[in-house]
Amino acid sequence: MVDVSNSKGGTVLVSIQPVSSDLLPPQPNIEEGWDIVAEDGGAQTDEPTTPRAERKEIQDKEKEDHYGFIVRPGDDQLHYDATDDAKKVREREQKWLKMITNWKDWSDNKSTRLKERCRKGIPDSLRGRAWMLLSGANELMEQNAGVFEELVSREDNDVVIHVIDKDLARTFPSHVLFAEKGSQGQRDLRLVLKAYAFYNEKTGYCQAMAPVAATLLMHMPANQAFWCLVQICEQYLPGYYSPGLHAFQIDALILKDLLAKQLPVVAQFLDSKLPPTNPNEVHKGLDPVLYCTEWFMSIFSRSLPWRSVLRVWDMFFFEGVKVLFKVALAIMSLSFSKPKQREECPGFFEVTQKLRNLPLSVTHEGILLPEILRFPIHNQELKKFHFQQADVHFSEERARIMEMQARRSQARKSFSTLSEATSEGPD
Amino acid sequence: MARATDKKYDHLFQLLLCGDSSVGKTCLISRFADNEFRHTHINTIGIDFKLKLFTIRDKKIRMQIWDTAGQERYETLTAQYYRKAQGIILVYDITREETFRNVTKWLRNIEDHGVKGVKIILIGNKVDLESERKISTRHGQKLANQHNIKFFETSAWKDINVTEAFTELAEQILAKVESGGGRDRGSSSIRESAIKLHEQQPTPATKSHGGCCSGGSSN
Repeated sequence: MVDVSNSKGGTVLVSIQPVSSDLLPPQPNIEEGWDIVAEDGGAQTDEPTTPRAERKEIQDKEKEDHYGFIVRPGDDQLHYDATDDAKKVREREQKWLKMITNWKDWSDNKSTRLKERCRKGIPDSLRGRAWMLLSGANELMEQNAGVFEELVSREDNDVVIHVIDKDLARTFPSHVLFAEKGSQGQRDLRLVLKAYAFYNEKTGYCQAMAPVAATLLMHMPANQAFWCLVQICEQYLPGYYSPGLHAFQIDALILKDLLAKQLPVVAQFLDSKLPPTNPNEVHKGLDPVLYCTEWFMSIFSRSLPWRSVLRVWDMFFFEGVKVLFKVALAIMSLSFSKPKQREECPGFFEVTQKLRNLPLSVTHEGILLPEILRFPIHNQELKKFHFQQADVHFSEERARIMEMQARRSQARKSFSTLSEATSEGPD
Repeated sequence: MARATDKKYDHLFQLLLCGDSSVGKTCLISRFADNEFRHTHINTIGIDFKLKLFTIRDKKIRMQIWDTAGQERYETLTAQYYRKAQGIILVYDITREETFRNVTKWLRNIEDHGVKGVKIILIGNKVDLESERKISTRHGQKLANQHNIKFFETSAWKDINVTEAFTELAEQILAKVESGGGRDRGSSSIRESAIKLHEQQPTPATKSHGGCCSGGSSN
C-alpha cells in the first residue's frame, strides 16, 4: 500500500537551484576593466566558453536525480552525492508506517518522540503523507471535501492568474515536474495557486508561494498540496504572504534580535558591513531583509541543497516558524563564527554574496542539521521579541499581531507540539 | 582579480531596476553585469543586487545594481532601496500592454520613495519578440518625452541596447556628479551626507515629475 520504490538508498545527486539550460556564448566585453561579479561564480565560469559540440555532450550527460531534479555536471556546490543506508531507511519506514496508522495516539501522547523523529528526517516514501498529518491538512481536507474542486472550477481572475501564469515556468525549472511548459506539474501548480487565491482573496497570490506549493507538489497530489499550502499560509506563517508582508517583516527584525542575543560576535560583524554608500546614514545595521527574504518566504526551498531542504521542512511541519529562525542562526554561525571566515568577507558585498551562495560546508545536511539543533528558541522568547518588534515598528498593528500569535498557538496545539524542547507550554 | 572592496574606482553609483513582474529586470542585469542570458530562471523574491565595474570617459565606475521583485506587495521591502538609488531603470515589456500602462504607477512610486532629482530611464524590453509587440516604439518614446526621461528599447536575450541603456544612465549620473550636483541628494555627495535622505523625500501628494531628470540634461 505504500510506495517505497524510490527509497532504496543508493547514490543520489541532489540539486537545489535551477541551472541555466541555454547560455549564450560570451559577447566581447565593453570597455570596463575587470568584472567583479564573476569572482564568486566558480561553478559556471567555464560554461560560456564551451564549444557547441562539447555542450551537446554535456547536455547528453544531464540526468535526473533521486528527487527529480535535472542535474548537470559542474555545479559542485549545488549538488552532492549522498548514500542512504538501505537498512536504516527500511527501519525508519517501518517506524513511520506504524506512527501513521496510529496517528492520533502519537500526536496526542507521544509528541516528544514524534518531534525527535521529525528531526531525524521522514523517509522519502512517506514524506507527503507525514506532512499532511503533521500540518493538520489531512483533517482539513476531510472536513472540506469538494472545496478544492469548486475553487479550481471558478472562472479565472485575470489579474491574479496572469501573475501566476508568468511564474509557472520560473518555479523550479530544473525539476522534471516543472521543466516543460504545460507539463502536469505546471498545470497542478497553477491550480493550487489559483485555488488559494480564491480561498483567501485578501492574501491572493504572493510570488513566494510558488516554490512552496511546488515543493509540496513534488510529494503529493494537487488537492492535498492545496490544503497543505492553506495550513502553511494560514497557520504556520500567517501574514507572511499578505499584501503588506507584515508578519515576515516582523520576523526579519526578530531574527536580528535573536542574532544579537545568541551570536553577538557575528551580529556585530554583520552590522559593521553596511552598504558602502551610506556611512553617515542613521542605520540599524545590515538589513536582514537582504538575506532572509528568500530564506523565510520560500521556507529555504530555494536556498539549500535539496536533502537539507527536506530535513528543514520535516522539522518545520512539527515545530513551526521557530525552525526558520534556527536554520538562519545555524547558517550564520557556520558562516561567520571563525575569525578567518569574517576576514574573508571584508565588505558588505562579500557578506551578502556569501549568504546568497552558501557553500556546502554550511548547507550540507550533515553539517547544517546538527548546528540547527544547537539553537534552542523558546516560544516565550519568540513571543516577547515579537511584541517588542511590533511595538517599535508596527505598533498600530498590535491587535493584528496578537491575533497572529493566537493563531500560531492554536496551530501548535492542533499539531501536537505541546511538548517543546524547552518544556514550555505552547504560547 | 580585484576584490570588490578595493577602492580602485572613482565613483560608486547605485542603480535600481523596477517594473512589473516578468518584464525582464533580472535578465537585463545579468546581461549587463555578467553578459549572460538564461532561458530558465527563477522569479526574484524580495531584493537582490549585483556589482559591475564600468568605465566611462576614463572614469572607473563601480555600479551597485539593485534588482527588485516586481509584485506590488514587495514594495514594502524595496521602498528603502529607492532612497539609496541615484539612477532608476524602469522596465516594461513591449509585448504586454498592462506592463506599459503601469509605467505611470511605477513613476509615482519613484516619486514617493526615491530621492529628489534621481535620474530615470525608461526601457521597453523584449524587442526580440517583435511579432508579439503590443506597444509601439512611438508610444514608448512619447511617454518618456512626457516625463522628460530617456527611452530605450532593448533585448536582454539578443543583447540589444542593454549596455547603451545602462551607459546612458551612468553618464547622466556622472554628469550630475561632475557638475557638482551637491545640492541634489543622492549624487556623489552621498559620501558626505546621506543621512537625511529618508527624511526629505517628496510627499506622496506631489504631482509633478519635473524633478525626475533635472531639466532633462542627459549628460
